[in-house]
Amino acid sequence: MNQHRSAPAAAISADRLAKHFHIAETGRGVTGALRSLVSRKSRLVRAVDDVTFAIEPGSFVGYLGPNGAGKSTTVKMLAGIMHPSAGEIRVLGMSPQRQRQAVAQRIGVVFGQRTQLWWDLPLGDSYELIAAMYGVSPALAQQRLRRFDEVLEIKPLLDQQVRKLSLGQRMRADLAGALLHGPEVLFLDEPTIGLDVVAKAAIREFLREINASGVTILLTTHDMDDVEQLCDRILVINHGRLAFDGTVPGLRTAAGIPTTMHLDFAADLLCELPRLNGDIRATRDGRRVTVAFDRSRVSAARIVAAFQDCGEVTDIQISEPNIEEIVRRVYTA
Amino acid sequence: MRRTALDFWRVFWFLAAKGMRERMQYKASFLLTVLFRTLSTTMDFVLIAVILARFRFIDGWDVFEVALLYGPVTLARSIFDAFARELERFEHYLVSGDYDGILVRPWPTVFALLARKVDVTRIGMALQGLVLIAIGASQALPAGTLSPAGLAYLVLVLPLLGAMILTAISMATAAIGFWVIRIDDLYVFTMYAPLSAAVFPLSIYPGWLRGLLHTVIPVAFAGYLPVLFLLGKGGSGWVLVASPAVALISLWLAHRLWLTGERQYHSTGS
Repeated sequence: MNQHRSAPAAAISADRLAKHFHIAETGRGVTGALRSLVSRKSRLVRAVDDVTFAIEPGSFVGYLGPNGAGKSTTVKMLAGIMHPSAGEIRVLGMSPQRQRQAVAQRIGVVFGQRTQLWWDLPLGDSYELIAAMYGVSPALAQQRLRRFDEVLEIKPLLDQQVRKLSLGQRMRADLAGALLHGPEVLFLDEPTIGLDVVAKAAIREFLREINASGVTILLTTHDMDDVEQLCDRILVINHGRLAFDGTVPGLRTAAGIPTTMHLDFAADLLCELPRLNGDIRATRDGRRVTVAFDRSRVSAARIVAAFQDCGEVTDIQISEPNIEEIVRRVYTA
Repeated sequence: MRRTALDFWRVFWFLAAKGMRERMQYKASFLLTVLFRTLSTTMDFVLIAVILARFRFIDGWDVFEVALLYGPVTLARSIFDAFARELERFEHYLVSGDYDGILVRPWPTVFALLARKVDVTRIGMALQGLVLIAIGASQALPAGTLSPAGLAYLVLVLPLLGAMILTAISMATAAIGFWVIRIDDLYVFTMYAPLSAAVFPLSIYPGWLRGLLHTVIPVAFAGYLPVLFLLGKGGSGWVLVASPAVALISLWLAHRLWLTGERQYHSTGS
């Protein structure tokens, strides 16, 4: 240890991390499938390729990227699920591969797509089991569950079988389960996927609280709202490589976080396209106008108001910023 | 991270109790399941008894002696089924990616996997194994072909060794899944067929098969060899020591294979 350095050690660090898969080439049709049985031809896929970063304790980091960019693969290596092809990982100063159990005791992991609770048992039993597995005393487990209940409202679910919970309920239940042993680092893989607005809000509030209490959080998500509302740092990965490392305002400057609005008019537009600021772009296609704007700088209502002299608006659709578009902009910026 | 054996048992029994309570909630279904499982293995043995009644002996073993072989193997299987059944469902864990959830627990992975489900209804089969041993012993004890100490070995030791050997075979088969994923069919060759074979005197099988059942899939040590000796039909007393050794070594080897395979684990899904 270097005595002169006062900066805290990173909670999570990856040094030249890589994961390569050999994917067997499967030809088309039955003959192709049969040929793949005997041929050893395979394609090398670099799911994660030379990724380096360090995350300070207590940060809330968003790990973003299009589908198949290597997000989940990275998180799975950080959590000790997969072994890297190359590079070094440190979580709380330990290797999640060589010291898997010791790391597991101090981290929490939530996969949005599948539960880690006991499917056939009532939720309360799952919590008892988790407490037993992590050596948490029943009293402490109860105390933590009471605290989680204030935001997650899991108490009414305790007697229900996990298989009978709705997706939103199950997500809340899984989060509480992942935090029951008081982890210092929390990995979240798409925790808000498929949830409605209310459920998302509850989960975000909860995550903010957990982070404020000192837990380092790494979140992978598609949802730019998650990122804007929660993360103090963003890592963008694409084709296995880091494409951006910075803050939300930094990403906004570098690429913008565009929201798209479609306005449909009852009749042909009565006016020319209104003049808008430089970073707001409007295009017209018949009776439909499409506007790309940054929600943090101008409200949707202001945009609609700008078109008030152009005729009767019959429909307004707003699509949220999508990460594919942002990544594209990172490269073209 | 140091964990004591006591920690393991605490968590395991906690699970067993939870699993049992959950099963008991549907009392009728619980009893029916136990009943059907008991009936189906009883039918198997009745079939053998009928054949034996016709031919009197299988390679020099009468029906009571076969019961003394069938009993401990059935007991072993019931212990294995109750505690280590999740290994047989391992393909599901690999295909769905549910194995991810096992790897993030602060326990050895095999233990965390088995802890996903402890199914006590399988214990019904143990009862039937005990009945078979009782039937066999009712003849062998008075006739002096089986000593009381031998009987104790058959009831108390052999089923445990058998369960260990079955767990090892199952673990090795599951470990192969880390490379090939699809292992459900492989179980037919490595588990189900050898188990069906193990309840008969192995001397009836051709040499290559007998060799296989003594080495790669060592079910011979879970029944045939020790019982052969205990009934005074042949073999040396060393087999009583060799069986535990084989059980431990096969568990160790299977676990080595498991840990090697685990490094290959390619989690699927997102």
